[in-house]
Amino acid sequence: MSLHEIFVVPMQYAFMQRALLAAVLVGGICAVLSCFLLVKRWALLGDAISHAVLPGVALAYLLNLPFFLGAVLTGMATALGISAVERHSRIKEDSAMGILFTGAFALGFVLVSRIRSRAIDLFHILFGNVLGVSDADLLLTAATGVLVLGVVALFYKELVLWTFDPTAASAMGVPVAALHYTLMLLLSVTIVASLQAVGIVLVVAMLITPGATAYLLVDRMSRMIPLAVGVGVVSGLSGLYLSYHLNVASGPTMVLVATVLFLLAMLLGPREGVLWDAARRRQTARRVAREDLLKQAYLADRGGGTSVDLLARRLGLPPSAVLALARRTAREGLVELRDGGIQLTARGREQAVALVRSHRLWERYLVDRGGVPWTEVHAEAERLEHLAPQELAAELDEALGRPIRDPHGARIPRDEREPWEPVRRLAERQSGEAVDVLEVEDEDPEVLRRLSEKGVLPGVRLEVLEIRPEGVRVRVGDREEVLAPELAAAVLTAAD
Amino acid sequence: MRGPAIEVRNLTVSYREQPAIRHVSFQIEPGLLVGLVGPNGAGKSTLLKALVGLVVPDTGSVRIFGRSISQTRRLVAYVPQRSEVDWDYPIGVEEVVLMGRFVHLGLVRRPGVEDRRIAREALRQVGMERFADRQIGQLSGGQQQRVFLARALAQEAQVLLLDEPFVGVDAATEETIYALLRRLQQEGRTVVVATHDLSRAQTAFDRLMLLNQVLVAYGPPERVFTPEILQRTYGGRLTLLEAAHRSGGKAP
Repeated sequence: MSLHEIFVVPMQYAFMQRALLAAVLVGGICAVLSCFLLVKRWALLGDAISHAVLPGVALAYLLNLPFFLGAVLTGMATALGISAVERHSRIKEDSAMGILFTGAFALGFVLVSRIRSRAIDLFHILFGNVLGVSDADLLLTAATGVLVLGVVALFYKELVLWTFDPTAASAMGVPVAALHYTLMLLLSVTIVASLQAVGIVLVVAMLITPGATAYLLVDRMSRMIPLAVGVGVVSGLSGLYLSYHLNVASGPTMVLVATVLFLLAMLLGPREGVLWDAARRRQTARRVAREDLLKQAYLADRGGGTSVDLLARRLGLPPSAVLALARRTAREGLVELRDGGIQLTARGREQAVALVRSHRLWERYLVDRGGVPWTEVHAEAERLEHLAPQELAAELDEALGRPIRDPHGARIPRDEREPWEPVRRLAERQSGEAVDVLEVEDEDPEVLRRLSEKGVLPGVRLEVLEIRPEGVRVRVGDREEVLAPELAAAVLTAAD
Repeated sequence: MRGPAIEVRNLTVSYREQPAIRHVSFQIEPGLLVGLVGPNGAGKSTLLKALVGLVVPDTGSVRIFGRSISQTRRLVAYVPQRSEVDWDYPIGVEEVVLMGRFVHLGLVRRPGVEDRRIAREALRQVGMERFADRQIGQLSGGQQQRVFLARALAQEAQVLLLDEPFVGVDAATEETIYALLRRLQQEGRTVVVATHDLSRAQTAFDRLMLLNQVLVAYGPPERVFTPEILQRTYGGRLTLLEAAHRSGGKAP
């Protein structure tokens, strides 16, 4: 099908031209109101009024009045009735709406069934018939458009103030009651003017969806309104064309297009889009995993081994996952897989050192400035090193007076060229040696707590009394303590 | 502008036959920082609302600088409780402050260049100019309060009424807001703050107004902060209050 056949051919019919105009007008007008209904939380009031116009249409027919008049009257009467019920009883707004609009709707049905005339086509009132729009209908819709846009343009700042902060608005002398009833009246008139195009049931969608879609995408009323109008007009237009070519009902098709646009905004919106959100989270998770790998590869290097199995143990991951992670990281040129081990490249080492440095500075900061116990800071620093911007490390360093060691005694590396400090584990020392505790490994708070209870802290001198499989017996000051193997393993001493 | 900043005579306000405040009369001289204190349901919000004509009194009158409320709307700024505002509203900080100019514009007229300048200046005064383009909901509770104060400044109001501005605000921010209120008072404005934090009220305000449906006391803190007056304000919760009074700590 050519573009000509899609867009131009349908328009050779006068009824299609009128339908097109009606769809654009209804889409646009409803969209403007939808923005205010959204912020005012009046979405369901639109629903209520739209159902309440049915008895008005029937009554107007019985009394031989213009149906527009009857519809607006019963619509407004119901809206006012809802406010009255709310004010004069304990019933809240949602129930008041439910009671009155279903009552009005039922009355409408009863009247229509009594009339039993072909003059009122219930199906068209409920679901619209945009293809049957007359010139008079079109004129009515256009006049409504002028009214709605005029009022909104004139009283825009008052409408925004009132919907945002109603108390301050009335304190400033804004006629809030008048605004309230004006918005209600505009809503009723718009609903009636939209009946022919989309019908009672579906006009509600055009009064909610465009505003809600725009609300997901922008955060200013001044941008929300034009965007909502765009959504409304596009829904009207493409709904009409789609319904023509697919030979389906036009009102529901317009609503479906609007719904699809809303769902797209929700999934893809740059601000709150669900998909972007998921993608961002996935990206962060990958970065954190990569950074952890670099750091552990660097730290493991001190013990002389960077095998996949060893790193898997340190990272708490299955070896296969570590291998996959390492392959991904290798593609970025940060590690190399060599002889069953994972070797940092120069760039990987640089990043790893920056991470370790940031981690240890954060620990220092949390202990010195945050008053967090030194046994607890490791996990928090683990989070911060990934989240906080790298530049912050320099500022922390400055603020803390360029500390040499973290709270657990580990050296805070300045850069990647800095060599390892020579250390020996306590378990590798000989009986009778006097040793200085340089550092305690900080992963397990429980181990740290038990060590600090025994007084085995960085900077403390120990005398090794006996090395046995069930633990290391040491003298701390004038006390004797036995350090279980898992405690002894966490203590690093200065190599002399 | 001469005479008392706020003069209330025999004010009674009811909601559905239940009186919220009864026969309240007082005068507040200009240029004072006043704390309005009382238990929950004492009618603090009702009194503030009556001062700007948000509720219709059964009896009594309110005069602002000797004139009626409708003649003095420009002079009085009202900062509502946080819960009365929709913080998800699609609106920016500067637009909120600009709302303060609306009382000078009347219906229909849009704010102009001069109004925007005044709004910017007001934001600068509360130290929030860097946030001018933020959506209002992206700010912390204390920052939101400062924006609302900026709106009152943009209004060029002489009387500021704040309803529970410290709810949901941390202690440090509370101090910045107190400092800001103090500055506004020193520039000659009259500021009335409803709060339920008794201990802080003792030192922060020039005058305290103790309300429990009726006006229990109004005067300098050292004069009204007596166990006897506190008992009349807080009734049955006396023992706790006495303890609070003795220790200078927070009342429940």
